[in-house]
Amino acid sequence: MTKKPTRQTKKPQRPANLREQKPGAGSGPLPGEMIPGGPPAGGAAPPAAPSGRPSQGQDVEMAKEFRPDGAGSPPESLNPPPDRFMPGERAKEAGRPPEGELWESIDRNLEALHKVFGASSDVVFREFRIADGDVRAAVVYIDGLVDKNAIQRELLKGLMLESAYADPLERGPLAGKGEPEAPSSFPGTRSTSGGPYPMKAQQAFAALKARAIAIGEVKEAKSLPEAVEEITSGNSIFLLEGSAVALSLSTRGWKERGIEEPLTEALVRGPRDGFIETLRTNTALLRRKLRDADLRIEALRVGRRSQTDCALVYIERLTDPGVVKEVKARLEKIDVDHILETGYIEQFIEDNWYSPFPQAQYTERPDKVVAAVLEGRVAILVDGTPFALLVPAVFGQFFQSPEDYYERWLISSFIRFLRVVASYVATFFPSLYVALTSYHPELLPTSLAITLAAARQGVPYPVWIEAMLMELAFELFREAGARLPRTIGQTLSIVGGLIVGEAAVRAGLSSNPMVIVVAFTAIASFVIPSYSMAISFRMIRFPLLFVAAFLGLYGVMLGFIVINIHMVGMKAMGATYLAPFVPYRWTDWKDLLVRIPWPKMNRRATVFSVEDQWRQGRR
Amino acid sequence: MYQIPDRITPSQLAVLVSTTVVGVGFLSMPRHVAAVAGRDGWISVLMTGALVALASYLFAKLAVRYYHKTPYQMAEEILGPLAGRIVGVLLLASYFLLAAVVLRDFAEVMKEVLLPKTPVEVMVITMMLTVAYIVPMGLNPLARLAEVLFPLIIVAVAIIFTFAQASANYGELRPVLAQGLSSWRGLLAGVRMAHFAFIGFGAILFAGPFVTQREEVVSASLWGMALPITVNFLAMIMSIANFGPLETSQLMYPVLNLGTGTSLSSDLVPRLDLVIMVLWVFAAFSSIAPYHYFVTLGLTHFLDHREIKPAAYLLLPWVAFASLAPANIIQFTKVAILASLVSAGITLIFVFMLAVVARQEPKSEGKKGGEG
Repeated sequence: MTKKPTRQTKKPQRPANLREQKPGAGSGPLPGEMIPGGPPAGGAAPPAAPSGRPSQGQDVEMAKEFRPDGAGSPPESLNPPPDRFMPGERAKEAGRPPEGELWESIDRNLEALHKVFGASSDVVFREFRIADGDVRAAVVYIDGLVDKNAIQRELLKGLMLESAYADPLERGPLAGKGEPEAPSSFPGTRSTSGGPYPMKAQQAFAALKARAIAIGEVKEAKSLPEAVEEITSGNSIFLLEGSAVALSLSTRGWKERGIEEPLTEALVRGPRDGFIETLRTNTALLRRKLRDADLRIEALRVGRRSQTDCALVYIERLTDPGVVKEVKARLEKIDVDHILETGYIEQFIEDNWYSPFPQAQYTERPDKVVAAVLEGRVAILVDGTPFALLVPAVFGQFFQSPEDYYERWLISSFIRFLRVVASYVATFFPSLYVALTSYHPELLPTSLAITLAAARQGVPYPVWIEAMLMELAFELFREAGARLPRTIGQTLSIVGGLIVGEAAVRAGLSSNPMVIVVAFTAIASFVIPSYSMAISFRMIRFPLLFVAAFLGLYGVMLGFIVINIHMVGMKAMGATYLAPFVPYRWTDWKDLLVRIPWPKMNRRATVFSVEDQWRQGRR
Repeated sequence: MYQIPDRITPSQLAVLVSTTVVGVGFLSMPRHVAAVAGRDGWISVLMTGALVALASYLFAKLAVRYYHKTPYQMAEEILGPLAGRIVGVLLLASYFLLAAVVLRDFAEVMKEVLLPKTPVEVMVITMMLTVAYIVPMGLNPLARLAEVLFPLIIVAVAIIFTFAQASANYGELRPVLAQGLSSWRGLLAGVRMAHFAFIGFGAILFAGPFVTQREEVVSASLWGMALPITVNFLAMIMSIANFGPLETSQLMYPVLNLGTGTSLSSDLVPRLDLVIMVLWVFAAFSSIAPYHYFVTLGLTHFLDHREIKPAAYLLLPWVAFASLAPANIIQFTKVAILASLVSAGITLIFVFMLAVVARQEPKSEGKKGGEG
């Protein structure tokens, strides 16, 4: 370490060095010409070679070695503000890791990594020497993302203490990697003349990989960005003096939540496991439920800065390849800083951003994902969130629950029917009430009309304002309850439901029938299995209240038509949003409003044009 | 030149034709027919149905022949640029009038039954705004919306006839043709009156050429016409059986009043006619929107524009104006008769065009016969 030649110790010195050479080369480019970026730096090599210096080979070697890194270095030294990126890079690429290859010198590599991670306190740089061979090595990882046991027991202990591994080093590739130009930089190794340097390094790594490193998954990282990416994703980078290739050791291991029952999608009957925040665990949950070799879990990275791991889950030879391609294309088009939840992705890939209706389903349930994938849809899993995204999603699917398939068909069909009724109640009940009481009381049976009128006696506002106020109040209670801890939430529901409702009626601000209407609407909206769909229904309720106030039942019907026009114009990744209701696809109706018995459900739904139509029988 | 990019399925064509034809005219049709044909009005309706079915068949044939062409393009291709243009303008004018007439008719019945204090203008404007939302989207959303509304219209019709059946007295239908031969004149006048309830069958000309399976255009069109013919026929029979010919001819909207007197309805919903009227918003919309679309297509064609959006919006206020122009029902009825005459004339012209085509290319007739 002490004998390091100054020329090679620090990266910033490297370009300075090269600059010194330039004038010697006579016709060499001016330093200023180096600024534009990498390629000119590479072009600087030929002029440097015939410089007439004593160690010509060294210069060539140096220039060659410098070239890839030149992308990053020259600007650093020439332009004082340290910018780790290529000057030519556009702002768009700002979140990318630095460019450049790794160095052969471990110090320089560490230096580069230090620069990349800056003052981050959680990045650990551990330098050590490999036993017997006395070769310098280092391991870099992020504390908290790695399994420390693995690093200590399998890596450090093995390499530092146990001499067996030194053996291949001594007689193997590491032994013969002496560099002609700088033998002194590898003090611990015998400097016998060997072949081209990188070749040696690769052999050394091969040997280490094969015999010394007792870790399951080992990859080679050939460039700095690659190494940085591995480190940030929780792997550790193993660097070896004299090698421009680093080893990436899969040492990921962090604290994760246990697998619990999904809170938002509780079922009476059905598996109790739910996704957690770790992508790999989630994919494992899927694999365990579906042992099909055709199940594809493709990895993708989204987010310029967050570099979030995403997984595209589908079944090859079942899912329409067009859909998979489309989803992939849309995912790749996403250009955003960070992805924290599948909700980000949902909003980036949906067809109609202006629509109140959700166009992708989300779920915490592995069983639901597996079922969706078997229907020919694509699931998107994102690291860091327990919610998986199911695309494409059409309207009818938001009324389905996994339980529909676990329970017997008559029960499921009845429950589905209830949900359809509930969706209409949640959307139209308040506006129908307003229209009927304020415009067409003659439509109600006489006794009911009289009761309603009597109940409304003394209420100061027109019925639609009363409805608007009460519905708003309900939304307030709901939102407040959703954010509160469960214990306080109960208090809130008592306050909201009993006291305010009762008091409002007693005070003459509202009428009892209105409380019933609001309560019914609320309950109905919670019958719909999809929370996002229920919310959009509740939202639509308010404009409908307005049109009911101005045009009575005619307004409500026009509202219904407008909602339907909106929906018939929508697409969900090629499928019509209202499919299979509209256009009519009779064969798909077996699993829509009713769910026919399992033994009869031979064909898959055709909405997503699956390649493998038969779910059972007739293979 | 605007080429319709949309393609619809045969079942969508059938549903679109059904919902377009079943419209506002249906509600008052028995009154008009009973006024001239009396007790035997149902024979008039049946005859009209047969004539309309024949015309639909011919229209479907034209649609098959001029696959992927709008009627405006068809006319120019068959009759040459000048005569074709004249026919096109006539076609445009007839659907413009029809859209206005149906719109006004709807607004009037709405005001009469559901919203007595709301001005007709409000009804017309709100309806046209809704139409303005869907028409620029093109043929496919129109067909899909028809599919959405179709079951609801069926429900409304089913309610009407279920309740009407309960109080029907079929003895009113007899004696059939009591006046013997002299009643033929009345029957023919009835045909002319009933024609208005079927007027939307021109939709076959507009939507037929854009069906995905060419060979199913004819059958889909006829299936699409089956529902309106049946429904109108039943409405006529039920009206006579419930009210007798005299009362039918004096009720403003006999179909709405069908079944209001039954005990079943008075227990459940005191005003069944209101329920029917509410559901009939769908039937009215599914007629007005296609009419507006047909007019829009024509204007786009004559302006030689690439998309239908500008024409759709441009026409919007004019249709509304035209529908509001007649000061009262009496004036309006005159316009309605004019519209129905123009549209009948257009039908005849297109049938004539088919004859021209059939004579011009006897070879290709044989060749294409297999497809039709």
